[in-house]
Amino acid sequence: MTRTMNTTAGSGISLDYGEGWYGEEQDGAGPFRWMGREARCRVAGLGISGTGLVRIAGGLWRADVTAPQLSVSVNGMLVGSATIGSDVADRVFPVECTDPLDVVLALDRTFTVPGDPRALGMKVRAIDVFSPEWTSTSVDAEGWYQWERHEYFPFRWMRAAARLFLPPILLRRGGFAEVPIFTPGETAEQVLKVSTACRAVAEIPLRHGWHIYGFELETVPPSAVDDRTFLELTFSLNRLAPGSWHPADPRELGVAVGELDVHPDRRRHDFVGRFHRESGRSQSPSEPVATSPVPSPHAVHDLPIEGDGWHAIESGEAGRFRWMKLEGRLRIAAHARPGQFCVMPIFSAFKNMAQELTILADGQVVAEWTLMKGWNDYNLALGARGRDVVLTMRLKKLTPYASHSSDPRDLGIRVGLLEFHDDEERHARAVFIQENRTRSQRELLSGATVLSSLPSTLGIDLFGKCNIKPACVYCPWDWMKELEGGNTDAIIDDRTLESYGRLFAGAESLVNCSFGEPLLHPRLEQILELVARHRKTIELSTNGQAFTARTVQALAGKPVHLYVSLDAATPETYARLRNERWHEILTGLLFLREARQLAGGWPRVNMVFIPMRVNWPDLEAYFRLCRLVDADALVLRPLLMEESHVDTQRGGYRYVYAQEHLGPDDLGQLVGDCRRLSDRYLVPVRTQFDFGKTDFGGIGTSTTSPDRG
Amino acid sequence: MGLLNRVGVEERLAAEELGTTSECLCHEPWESYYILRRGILPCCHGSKPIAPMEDFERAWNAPALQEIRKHLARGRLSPYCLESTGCPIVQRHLHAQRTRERWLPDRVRTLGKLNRLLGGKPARLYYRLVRALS
Ligand code: SF4
Ligand code: SF4
Repeated sequence: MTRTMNTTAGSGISLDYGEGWYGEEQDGAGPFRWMGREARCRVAGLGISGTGLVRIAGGLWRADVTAPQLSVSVNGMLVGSATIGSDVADRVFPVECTDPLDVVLALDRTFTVPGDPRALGMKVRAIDVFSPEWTSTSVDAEGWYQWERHEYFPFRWMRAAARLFLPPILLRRGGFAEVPIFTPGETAEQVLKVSTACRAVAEIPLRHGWHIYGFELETVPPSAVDDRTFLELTFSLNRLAPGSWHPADPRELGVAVGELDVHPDRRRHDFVGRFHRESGRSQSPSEPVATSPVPSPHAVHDLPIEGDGWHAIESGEAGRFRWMKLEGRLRIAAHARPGQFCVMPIFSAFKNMAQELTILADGQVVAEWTLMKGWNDYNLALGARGRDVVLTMRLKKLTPYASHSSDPRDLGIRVGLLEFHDDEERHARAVFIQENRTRSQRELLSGATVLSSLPSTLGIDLFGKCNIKPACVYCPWDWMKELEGGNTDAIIDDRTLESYGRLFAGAESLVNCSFGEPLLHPRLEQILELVARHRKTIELSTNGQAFTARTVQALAGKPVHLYVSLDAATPETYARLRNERWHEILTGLLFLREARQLAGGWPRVNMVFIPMRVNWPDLEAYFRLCRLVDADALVLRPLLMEESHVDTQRGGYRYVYAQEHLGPDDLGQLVGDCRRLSDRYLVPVRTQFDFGKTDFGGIGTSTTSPDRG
Repeated sequence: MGLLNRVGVEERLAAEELGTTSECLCHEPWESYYILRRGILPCCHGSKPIAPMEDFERAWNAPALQEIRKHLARGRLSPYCLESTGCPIVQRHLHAQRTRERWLPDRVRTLGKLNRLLGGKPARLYYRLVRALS
């Protein structure tokens, strides 16, 4: 019987099963054979020499049988032995390669099962032979479970200890190893030791979640790597993953380990190491940062309603709320009011400002607001604390029934959970913004051309230099810098923003539109502090190559909507658009995810993807990446129809701007793919293809952020 | 009521009451303002600055910006917008215009022929219906 081998080998290799095997069978995981007490096979067509590896994947599949001892001989020489357990497991034996290779597997016992007359030894899933000449990826030995491929990183769980072999082809790539590892445990709870047969290589305290770790391999120059042998590495853990994390999984789980990569880049190695060193020991997610300037999640879980003017509590995109009918009452108890000022989030469906809300406290009118469409914060001064306040909220009209025909209720406005504070300055600023917003909407609706209102979104230009050189393939860098003239080096920082006076005061959000990388700004911390202090939000588009321990720390907990422009999910595609620094970005994004988890989810992370011919194949992997880094959304941004004559060669690819555009049919298909993938990976998708059209019925809501990376 | 619903009158009236039918082409020059190194822009898609960066205070109500607002308020794109070909709103507008130019004359001619063949009845019916609905 001949079967093509299940190896990384080229074609022409054959495996002849000799005596001692039963016929091939199938189960859910693929084909297998039972062997008896002793079984032989011959591997031919190897054409190799040197120290190769024979890997036998097998097990008993029965827990009620005494574990037999397996001895493996090759060409008449005993090469090793192992105890066979009930699960399928890999056992690897180094062998001196010859062609052909005669392999004999011998067990010290067999067993029988009722109804099957055969003497069963071991169930063998595969016999693989790896030659040092043509194996290009690491070879797993004992201690690993099966590979899983449903996440961004293909990975397998390791037990408390595991062995793997690195082939010469991989070792010749360089002296640095990099490997993604996931632990559900707390940071520094688990420590991974890496060693070769003769020395300890690294001792790595692991951080919670997925992270990338690097270590130096043997200090042998690539040219001096022994072409004839594999390098054996042993991974061992001080402890297993907490059992409480996988109560339904009886396996012995240590950590999940992705594919090990070897590279020659000391800068890349140092970058990863520095991130780990400088990020220090993080807190556990159960210890949130107490001083986050972003409004903390409400401690209250409902509105203090009174009477029957309200519908039941519901949850939506903006959090928990209740629909109010035409009139509703709130009783705010003295003890539940930690401040004299109240922020009330209200949603109105009226776009023409035809909805008005009057609020009375103890029979006196305390506020009359013209409501704007969507969710907006309204600010109310409730006066001295220490007594209960009853607010009567009276609307001018209900939302027309025909606009919510599937919901027959009386719907007025939605009211979100209230926030109280005692900060007079904050209240004054918020009232200024609220009044400006109202004036602005009135002027817009009336078509006024000279405005007394101020813009609610202020575009700023924080930093004029970029760390991507040459610029991203689609970036009109030279043209922009020409337009900027002498202003490219002008300093724009927190002090400049304050000097914008009323324009800064009236703005609810700032949008950075630099042709440059804002995270490189030397006063990034001060800028973000200023924005947080004024309770504004800021949109920053970043290329992701400026994540360091410092910038991640500066961003953590700040009211930032971060747009990370990658457009690629693999190092290859990324190199075609930008450069070879993909791995650093991944490292940074994983640290950012950890920092956000500890800081109430801020900054919000939007992963930008400009669909083009070059990156369409990466779409699904991009969704996986978004899930890995816990992105708030994947943002589809159009490649603008500018008359660009870009025709350039990068990353082994010819990028012609005009040909990278997707036509309407392709875009339709892509949007369909996005819908499907969004459901599968639970990653919301927003599109900026429909800029300017407010009611987009597609896969998400349109946003108006800048279109540059 | 059933008939009215079928032609969507109720929904249309509701949309009118909510003010969602009068879709302004673009809100940017009322709601946004960009003080950038290359100059002042009314939106992030504007092709060229309307004033130098230092003039940020005056430029908010400068004639150039008033002109853009005037056109948009009337449901038209301003000459400034039409020059900003990177703007998706402008792109959509130009695309729609091209499509109209390609199809409209033929369709008008065909409908006109059909109307004449039927003695002008379809047009009379159509206008009566429009009047009844408005
Ligand atoms: S697109 Fe952004 S990140 Fe890329 S070169 Fe231009 S400014 Fe830099
Ligand atoms: S160029 Fe586009 S975004 Fe800018 S004002 Fe005109 S329509 Fe609006």
